[in-house]
Amino acid sequence: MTSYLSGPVSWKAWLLTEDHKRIAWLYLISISVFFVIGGLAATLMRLELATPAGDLVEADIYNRLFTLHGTVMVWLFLIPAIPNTLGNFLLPLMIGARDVAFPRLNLLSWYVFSAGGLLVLWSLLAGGVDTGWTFYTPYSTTYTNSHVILMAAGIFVTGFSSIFTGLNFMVTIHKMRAPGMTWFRMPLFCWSLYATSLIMVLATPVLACTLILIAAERLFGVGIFDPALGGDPLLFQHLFWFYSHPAVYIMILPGMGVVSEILPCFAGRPVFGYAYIAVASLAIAVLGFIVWGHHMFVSGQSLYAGLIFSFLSFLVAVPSGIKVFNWTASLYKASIRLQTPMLYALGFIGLFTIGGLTGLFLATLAVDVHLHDTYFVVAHFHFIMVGGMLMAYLGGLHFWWPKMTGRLYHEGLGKMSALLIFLGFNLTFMPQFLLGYLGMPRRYHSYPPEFQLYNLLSSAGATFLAVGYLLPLTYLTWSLFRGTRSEENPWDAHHGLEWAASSPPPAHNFVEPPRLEDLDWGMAPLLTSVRLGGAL
Amino acid sequence: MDRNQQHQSYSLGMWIFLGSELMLFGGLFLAYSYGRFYHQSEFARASLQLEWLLGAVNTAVLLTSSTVMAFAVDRGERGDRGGAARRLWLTALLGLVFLGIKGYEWSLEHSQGVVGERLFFFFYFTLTGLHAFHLTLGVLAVLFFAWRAGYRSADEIMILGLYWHLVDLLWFFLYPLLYLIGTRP
Repeated sequence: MTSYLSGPVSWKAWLLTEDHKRIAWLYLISISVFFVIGGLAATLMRLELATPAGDLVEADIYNRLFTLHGTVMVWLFLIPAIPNTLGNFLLPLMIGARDVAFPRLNLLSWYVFSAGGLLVLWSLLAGGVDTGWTFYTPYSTTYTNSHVILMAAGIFVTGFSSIFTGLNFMVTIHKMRAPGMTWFRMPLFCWSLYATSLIMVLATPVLACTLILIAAERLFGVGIFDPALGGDPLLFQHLFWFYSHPAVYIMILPGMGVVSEILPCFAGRPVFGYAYIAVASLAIAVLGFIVWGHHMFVSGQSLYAGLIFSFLSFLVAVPSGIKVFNWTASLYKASIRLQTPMLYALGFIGLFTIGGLTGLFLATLAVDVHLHDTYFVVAHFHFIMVGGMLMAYLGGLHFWWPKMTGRLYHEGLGKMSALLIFLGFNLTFMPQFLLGYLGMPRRYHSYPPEFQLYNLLSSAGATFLAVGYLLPLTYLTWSLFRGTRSEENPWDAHHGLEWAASSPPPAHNFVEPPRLEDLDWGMAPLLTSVRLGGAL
Repeated sequence: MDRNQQHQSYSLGMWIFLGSELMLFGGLFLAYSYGRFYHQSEFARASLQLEWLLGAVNTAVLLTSSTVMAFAVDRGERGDRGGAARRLWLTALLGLVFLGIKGYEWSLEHSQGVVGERLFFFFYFTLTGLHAFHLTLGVLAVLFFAWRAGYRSADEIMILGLYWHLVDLLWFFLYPLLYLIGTRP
């Protein structure tokens, strides 16, 4: 049986492929490149912050570095990371389909993404942007002389790839499920992809129109956002955060989905509260649309709006809490195997919980006045984005690596780097909570000497983190060529149609279309109820 | 994927796409509301410079085109491919008439110049421009469908119709918001 990897291997065959599994690889390679670029910017920033004086880079260069880091990591890495790599690869396999609903649109999405990414890189080579990833007006429209329009154009274009992918996934989940694959039998990863897609489709266009308005104010001087021209900067923040807060959930929801797949496999039992976790994903997606104002507590928005946004933001903790409690309950009296993906998943639960709880501090009006724009905020969202999302991404990559490549990686190295990343992460970002609480503002390249100890600890942690990221890059690449061959189901997973396909899967996923027999999800392991073949 | 599943997928995909489009225009409508809230009298005065009659004619043209499109969909469902094709040609023609009148308006505004509230005219040109862009794509698609009507299924014509109606619907909001907010003597 020929796998999807051993089909035609020319450049043309890869670059014009409509196979969702190959497109996942195209994305995987692109986002890895962007991750390295964003990571290098972070490395330079942490180096600069090791000493209080601004000795490595000047303030202006530092501004460009954190803008680059934020923009590249948010739009070119985190948002596409899980949906477009693991999601693309797994969604059709998990629901028993041959491909996504619109394979050509899927390929187009990658080209559009790459074009947007290249525009962002171009803006970087042209001299970069110094506004921060949030492009706050009127600085971004009137005062800065950096390449805002070029970078905004890149992000605008990238947005279309998000919309295409979201649309594709939603239609795929609605219309392409194999017979017997009902909504409440779908793997939780598919539920999280559905919730993510909903946000991608409905929030991204608002970012597009915001970027159009920025470009218009910059080019033609029409007064939309700049008060000197008769505009209102709050309008920008409303529009921007209407996209960018839901975008945070674009980044974290797929990670939650991955963890919901890894945990039951290595706990050897079905996940606890399946339906609650599934619906919580949708609840987070919907609530995500009505909390954007919590970014604007000190921006001059009305006190009553602030109160309501504060209350609504607290509500997000409910579905998030449901997930964390259910994951934890899934571990109760389970026979847990601590293999690499499981280490990442457990790390995710701990770090996400801290990130989520500190989010509640920030959603509290009075506390936010003190903590706004300090390192506390930086630490909070890195706990969600890196401690949560990136851990889940790496966990998922390790979990499905044998499926994607047909090879096994070195388990010892895997465990070691998972631990290294966990420890390095905590060392990097725990001190930043303290720094923020003590009042160190974000986005400065120099700081008073009394903050040095915590900054030094943070920079030291970043070093461990960097090694932790380089290790998987090395041993995973090595395993591509030299790794031991993997069987169909190397982890003895009890559920998930993807494990019923060979490793790596054939080009059309299943030799015979899968057929699910009527068995209750929670009561019986799903894989035993799958028969390959039978009439579709 | 069988044909039925394929058509259902296309139809759902179009609905999701239309939702996405509404959010795009929604953001612009919000920005417009902000501007109008702060500069009410300036917006109203600026609006008086637009050719409301041409806009009204265009509204009628677009409304008619949507009706014809609905007939084309109906013909398609009855299996009358020739009838569907003729109605699609007419739909595209009406779309072109709209674009012609809109272009004439823009050329008038360009040659005579517009004065006063720049913000209003920014929204005017952006919103009508974005709308015309969508309509142009629609006209091209309808022309293609009319030309290849023999190869297009009824479902596909229906899905194209969804898009056409949305572009039509957007204009119904644009026309009053842009042309009719001033008090005419």
